[in-house]
Amino acid sequence: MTRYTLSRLLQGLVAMWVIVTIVFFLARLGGDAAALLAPADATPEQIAAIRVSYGFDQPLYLQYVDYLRGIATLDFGQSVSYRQPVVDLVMPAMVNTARLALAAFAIALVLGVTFGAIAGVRAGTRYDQAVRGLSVLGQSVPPFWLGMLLVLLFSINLGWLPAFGSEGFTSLILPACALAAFPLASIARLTRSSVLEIVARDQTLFERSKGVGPATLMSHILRNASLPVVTLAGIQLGAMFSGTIVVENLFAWPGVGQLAIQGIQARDFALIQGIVVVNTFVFVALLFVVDLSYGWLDPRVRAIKTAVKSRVEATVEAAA
Amino acid sequence: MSNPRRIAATGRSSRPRYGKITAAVSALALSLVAACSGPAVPSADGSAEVPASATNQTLTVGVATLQQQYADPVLANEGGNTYPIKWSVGEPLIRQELDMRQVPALATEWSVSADDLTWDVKLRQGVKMHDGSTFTAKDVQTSINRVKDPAFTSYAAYVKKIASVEIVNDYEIKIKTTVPYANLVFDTPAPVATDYYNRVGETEFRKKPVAAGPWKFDSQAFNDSMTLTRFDDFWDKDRIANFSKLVLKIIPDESSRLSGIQTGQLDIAQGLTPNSAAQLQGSPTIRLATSKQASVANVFFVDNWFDADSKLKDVNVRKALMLAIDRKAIADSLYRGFGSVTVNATLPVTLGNDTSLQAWPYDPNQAKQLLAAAGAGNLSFTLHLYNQTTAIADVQKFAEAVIGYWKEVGVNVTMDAMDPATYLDKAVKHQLTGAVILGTPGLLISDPEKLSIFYTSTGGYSSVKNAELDGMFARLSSTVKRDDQAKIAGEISRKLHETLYGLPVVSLDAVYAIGPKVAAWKLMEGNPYPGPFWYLDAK
Repeated sequence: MTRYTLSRLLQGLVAMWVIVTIVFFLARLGGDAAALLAPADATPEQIAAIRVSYGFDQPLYLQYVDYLRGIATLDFGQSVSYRQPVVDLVMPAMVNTARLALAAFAIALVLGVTFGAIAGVRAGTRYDQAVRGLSVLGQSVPPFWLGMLLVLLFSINLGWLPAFGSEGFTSLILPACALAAFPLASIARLTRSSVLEIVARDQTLFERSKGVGPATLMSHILRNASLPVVTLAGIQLGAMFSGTIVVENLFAWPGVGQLAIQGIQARDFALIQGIVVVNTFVFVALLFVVDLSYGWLDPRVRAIKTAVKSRVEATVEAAA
Repeated sequence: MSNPRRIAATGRSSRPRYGKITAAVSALALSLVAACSGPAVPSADGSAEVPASATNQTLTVGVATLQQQYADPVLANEGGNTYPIKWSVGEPLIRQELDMRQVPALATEWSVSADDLTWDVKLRQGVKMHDGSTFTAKDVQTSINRVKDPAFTSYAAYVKKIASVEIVNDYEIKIKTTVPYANLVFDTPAPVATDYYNRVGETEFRKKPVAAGPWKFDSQAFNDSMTLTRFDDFWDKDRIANFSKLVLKIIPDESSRLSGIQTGQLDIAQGLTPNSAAQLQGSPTIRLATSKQASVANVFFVDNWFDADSKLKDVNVRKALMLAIDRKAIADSLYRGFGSVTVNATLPVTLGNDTSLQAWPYDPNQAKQLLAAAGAGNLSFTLHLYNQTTAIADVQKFAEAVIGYWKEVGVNVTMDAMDPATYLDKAVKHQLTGAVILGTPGLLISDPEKLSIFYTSTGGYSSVKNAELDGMFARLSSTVKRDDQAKIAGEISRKLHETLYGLPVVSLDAVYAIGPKVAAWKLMEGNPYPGPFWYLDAK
């Protein structure tokens, strides 16, 4: 298990390195940052002074080495547009995005698994049809449109919830619901199909025939059906961290999405890089956790790994 | 308030505190129907009396952006969207009044030597800074020294012209320039509290600045809001608000700002397009206010900057393209009356604007004749534009409308919309050909010298190389006397009207929605950006 964990960790680090490298070079293909920072009537000398001041005059490889060294020490440099350390901008924004993403994820996971599981065990009933219909709707409705409808209904007409903002629990509800719709529908659909498959297995029939109680039976079904759902949920959570731009914009939520838009518009290299690095780290960390959870959820995964390891060792011994 | 109009609206109706699902669904359906209905009839203005001390001690303003969100009023000179802080936290030597006149602020008198290179500035006495210290010439010097750092990019041109700064006494300062510099005193950065600055250093100062403006910086939640508190010791009592706290809330999405004003989360919503404003018509509680002629939506023919042949270099072709556009229809229909036909590239707020000039008419027949005579019957080119700008509301629809009119006279134009960063970069580097759309804020072009950005061969966003225009602008920039400047600006005004290197298609108003907690607010003419938050009072 330790070897497996280390191998996944190494893969994650390589993925991170590839992504941050691509981002570094892509960001610099976009134009002369010094010229962009200078006022419209700036002279070439003034632009040159700005270039030196921000280190854009250094050879690209030196900028790259500095950049990698900075990442290792959590120093993403200075934002050229905001004149602040990138880490001071990205981290508070990431905390806000995490609040929103985790709230939306909680809604999606709890409701998605519940609806999907019930639909799976009651396949063919009206309840199942309703869940399937709503799932299609949830996956089809764009979050910005859903968000606008929610604001229209709950903020403007009913006055129950704030239309935007990030203060307090109530301001979290509408953006979280708008963001949760798609993953909720996806999780519900996958849970349903996964549960259907487990319900049809001999193992479940055997348990039923032995008179296992509904609660125990359901827990066994859910645990067996959970592997694909966990995989999907992990990916969805990662996507939420990096895909909240539209919802953040609509609800004036001061998260990473909004910061990313501003960084892109200002061609703020350091800021864009900082955001991508942090997002990549979050995504890779989530996938790592998902991978590790397989072993906990399904003992067969551990057994397979052990078996493979034994077989490899045996082969090596035989060859020796 | 500048032409405040109370508008009818879907508005908030009496609503149940809690309801059942059926009620909610009904409300949603009604809202959708209401949202699809047309504008209602405007009703009378209902401005209220202004109490000396307001019941509502906090006003929240929803702004589309504060751009880089600098708390430091000197740094907040990067572009109009940072000006709310520049105007609120900072107090310059000379400021612009709401009608764009330059009036004394922390400077009381200023004069220039016979060679136009040395300025003697007398400073206001008895002024307090936000930390309680007394304002002196040292604070002006500190501020000028700060902007010598290249990080203050917007002061690069200013710094280049400064030769020396000499403190004569606590309330007098001499500034020598390398070239005649008419706007020197106006362009000088807002003074900062020297002792505080020296104590905390540059980095900390940027986070928590101390200056002399009508609002003190209180706190900032990045990408969310900036909170300012009233400065009771501000020298100009007329500009002190009757409430204590002003929150600038950043809400990029226009529909959210609209929702905010409807739900009462916002007291003022900035940057509304005419379509959004129409949705507020009929509201018993929400008024609309406009800053008239806040910006001009221009089409510049950038081919005039290059040496290569182009039909767009023919003044008759450019005239034809101007005559082909029904500008009144664009102002009335697309901008729903929040726009007007412009006479010239200069606005009434521009120094030296020639008021005798007549607006170009809408005459498609003459346009066709001019095009035919110029051999440009099959003219085609690309119109480049940015997909978002504070200066031009609904910029893509504007471009589509212009292209539509040109098509009617046989000119085929391809639209090329880009994100602002890419577009402005290409425009500055002269990588675009054909025509470009650019907004010119009234605030910017109230100073005619700033038109050089668009009309001289060295201008950042210039579309033309013309020796005569270059000469005119050179004379303008080396002239420091206001009357002389106005004369040259008048010449430029007429020249731009004749040559039409850029078509000033329509001027646009900046639209604000004002909620019921606001008692009064006077807006600055010609200003597309949020603020200034002077002469603002709560109920």
